[in-house]
Amino acid sequence: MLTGKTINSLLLLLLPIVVQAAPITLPQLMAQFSAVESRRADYAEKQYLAMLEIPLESHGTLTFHAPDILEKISTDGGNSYRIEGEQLQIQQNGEQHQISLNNYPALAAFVASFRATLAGDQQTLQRYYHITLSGVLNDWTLLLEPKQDEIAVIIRTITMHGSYNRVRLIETVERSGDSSQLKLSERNEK
Amino acid sequence: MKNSSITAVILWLLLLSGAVIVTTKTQISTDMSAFLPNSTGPEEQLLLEQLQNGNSNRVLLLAINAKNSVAAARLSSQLATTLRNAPHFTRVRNGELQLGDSIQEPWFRYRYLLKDSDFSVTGLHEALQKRLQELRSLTGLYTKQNLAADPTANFRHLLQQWQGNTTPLRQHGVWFSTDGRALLLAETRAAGFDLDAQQDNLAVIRNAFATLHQHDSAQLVISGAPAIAVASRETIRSEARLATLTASLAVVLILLLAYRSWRLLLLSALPLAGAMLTALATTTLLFGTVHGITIAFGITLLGIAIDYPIHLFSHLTVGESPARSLAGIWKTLRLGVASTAIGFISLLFTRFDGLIQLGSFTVSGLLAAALITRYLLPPLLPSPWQGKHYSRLPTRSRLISHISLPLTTVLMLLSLAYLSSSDRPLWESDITALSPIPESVRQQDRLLRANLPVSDVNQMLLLQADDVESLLQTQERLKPIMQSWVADGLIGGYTLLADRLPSMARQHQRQAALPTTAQLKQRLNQAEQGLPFRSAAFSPFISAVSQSRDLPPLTLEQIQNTSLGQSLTCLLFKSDTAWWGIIPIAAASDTAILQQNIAATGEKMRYIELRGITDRMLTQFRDTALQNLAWGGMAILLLLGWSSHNLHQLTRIILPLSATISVTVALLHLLGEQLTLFHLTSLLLVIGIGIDYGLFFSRTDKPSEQGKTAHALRVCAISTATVFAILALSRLPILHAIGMTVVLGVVAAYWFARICGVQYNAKEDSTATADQVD
Repeated sequence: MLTGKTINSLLLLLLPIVVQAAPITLPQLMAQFSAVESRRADYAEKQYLAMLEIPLESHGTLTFHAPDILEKISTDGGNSYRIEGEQLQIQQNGEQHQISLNNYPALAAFVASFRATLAGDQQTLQRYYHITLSGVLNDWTLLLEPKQDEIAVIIRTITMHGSYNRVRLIETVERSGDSSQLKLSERNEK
Repeated sequence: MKNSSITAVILWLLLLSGAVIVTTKTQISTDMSAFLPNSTGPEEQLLLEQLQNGNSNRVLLLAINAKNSVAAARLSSQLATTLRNAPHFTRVRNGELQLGDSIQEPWFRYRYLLKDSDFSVTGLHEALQKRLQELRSLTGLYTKQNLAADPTANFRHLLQQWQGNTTPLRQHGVWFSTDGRALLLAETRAAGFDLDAQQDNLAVIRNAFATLHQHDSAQLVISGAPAIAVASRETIRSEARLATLTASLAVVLILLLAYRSWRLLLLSALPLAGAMLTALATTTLLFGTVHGITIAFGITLLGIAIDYPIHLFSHLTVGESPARSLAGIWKTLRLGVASTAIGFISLLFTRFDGLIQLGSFTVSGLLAAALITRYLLPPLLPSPWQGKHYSRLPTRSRLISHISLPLTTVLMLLSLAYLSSSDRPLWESDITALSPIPESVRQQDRLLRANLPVSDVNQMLLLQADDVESLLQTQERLKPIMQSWVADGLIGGYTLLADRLPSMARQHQRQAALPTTAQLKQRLNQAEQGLPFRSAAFSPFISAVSQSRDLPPLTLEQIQNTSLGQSLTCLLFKSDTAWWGIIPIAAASDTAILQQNIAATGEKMRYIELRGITDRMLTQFRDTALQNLAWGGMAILLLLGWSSHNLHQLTRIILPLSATISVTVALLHLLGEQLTLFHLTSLLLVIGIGIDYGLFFSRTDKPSEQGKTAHALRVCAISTATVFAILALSRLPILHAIGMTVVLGVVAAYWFARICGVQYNAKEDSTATADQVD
């Protein structure tokens, strides 16, 4: 017997199929992200540097807690860090260091690209970047280009690929030609 | 108004406007060095100058207290960011890691001559491994900027080394004190003695902090030389304002009670106002700038000028012209003024700019007050005098009258005996006793300083050399020795100029040790084995090393105008005969053992404790001042002797005066005071007052006149004692010292002068009683 509730559920299930063909808007994307309080993902990073013959690889987990906590823990001896608000804490040569993002605009912009997206914070994102969103709900691409010169001298573009409220891949291209790819596979938090 | 009065008023107005014009241009200086003698050893003099202009005087110490260390660390970092963006500060440090070694020339160019480098294959390999690790980090964005040109990170290590060799405690990546407060250092752009600018700097910091911690109960403490100087100036201002206000009110009240005339009250202000304006104008004309202490102290000393109109007013007689009344006392008054002035003139012959200023300030002020009383006041009073008649015959017990001279002598001798038998030192040799800064504030500063990489400027080693090169070479020889001293706990730390600017010899040595281009290429090739770096990646490094081999060594001249270099140039100075290096050291524990160790080095080096120098200066000052006072005393004696009628009269002035001084000093000592330069100079005022009282009390034996004189002196003594009693209550050591000295002195002077004064003639007793209208 089809109760009203079941019909509603069925309709809800069908909804993505209906809308995924329509182009996604930035407010839509941001709303999706802001609905998630915290997430955890395994990452695999490849850095292609002009000075290096082969890419530099590292693995680990990334954790995000809304609105502004971002933690990266490397499992293969790479560097780990924790960012909360404007404070960046890194372990370097066995010592804990604290850095204020305010002092390093490019670093702040770099962190914002990822963190503001996860938080669904369109305002912050727009403060740092010209934003171009393309694709559909289950396969979108967010292209970020720095607005400020002091950031643009270091970062050329940051491109995020994802579907629904998940980021799959972040590609960063630096002005120097160096680039990096960060692949994310999110775990379900329950 | 009569002609003479119009002339007098016009003259006074002219003088006044001239003085006002000059004083509007008066520059008030606050530089304490004016009160330091300019006659110490040349090195010590230069050292003091060096330290006054030095960097340590422009460093502010900040401590943040918050609900927990995380909150404190966050505030520290936020505050540092705000301040770094403010133009007021040249450098703000809080222990945070500095990324991206912004290239600073000429330092970057000389990176391989300023520091030892390990260019062996293993050394290079390890360095490259570290860089690779850094590239993987979030901050790699910055560290890779200099990677190709400086893979060994020499420049970054150089910058880190310059942060200081005493590394403070760190929590959450920022500096913390042992008592759990986040610490910051802010170097101000303005000089340490520019107190107005420093006051702005403090406001900038407080405002920045206030906007950061609106939601919690965090606290910020600001210390350091500039902050303390600003705070003490504020204390001085507010205390002086309060004292001036209460004292003025008290005098107004006393004068109103004594004369019950608004007119006389207003006129009594003329000599005082004229005295201050003239004094300020004269000092400005003579010196260009006037020291703040000269003004504050000088105005206090000029307070005696209120006595001059009092003498005139009390001697006014109904039916007699004021000019005539004045003529009756003018000889005595003139002598009093002259002898007081001589006391202050003795200050002109000291070698302290501050005291010479003070001397000219007071002498010119006193003369102006006397002249205004003589020439301006009488024409402004109704003639003949129609107002009240003031007279009060002193009541003296017959017994005291008979034994006054022996009693005074005995009291004087008792005081002297007490002073010579006491174990407690009479003089204060600790200069901080004069400081308006409370001990708690100083202790706070010491505590913060101990936790931060700032050397205590109090302790240092002074190294002598023929030229800069040998100075630097000696420091390089000393470095391992000093390191062992630190290891042994003999000293807490040190700052060596040679650590930042190596000697030419050392730079040549490093150049010689640099590999040739071919060698370096080959070693790099080997070092890169197993690492993913491209073979051509480090060509900027190879050419930099090759250039370093041919660089002329870095010299003092090249760095003098760089921001880093400026903080270094205060570590050395030049006298006529030699170069001197200052090596600030921290927390020398056992100076005797340190002295032995210094001697054992065989270098031309000695340990200097700044406090020791200033204390010695204070002693020297005291000796000079005493000497000058003695000469002044002789001059006063001569003047009095020349003007007195006979030896008997002279005794009646000199004896109470001597008794006044000895009893005052004894009482001060008994009350736990130790004498400083301010007590000493206040004694000059007491001497002036004492002479004045002595002269007036022994002026005449006519009871009618004696009654008026007694009234005058009573008003003088009460007003002076009240004013200085108010000062004695001040928290400021200087005002307290002045107040105590003068209040005790004026009471003693009045009492001794009164009992030793001339007895009134019994034959005129009846007239005297008739005279006593009040």
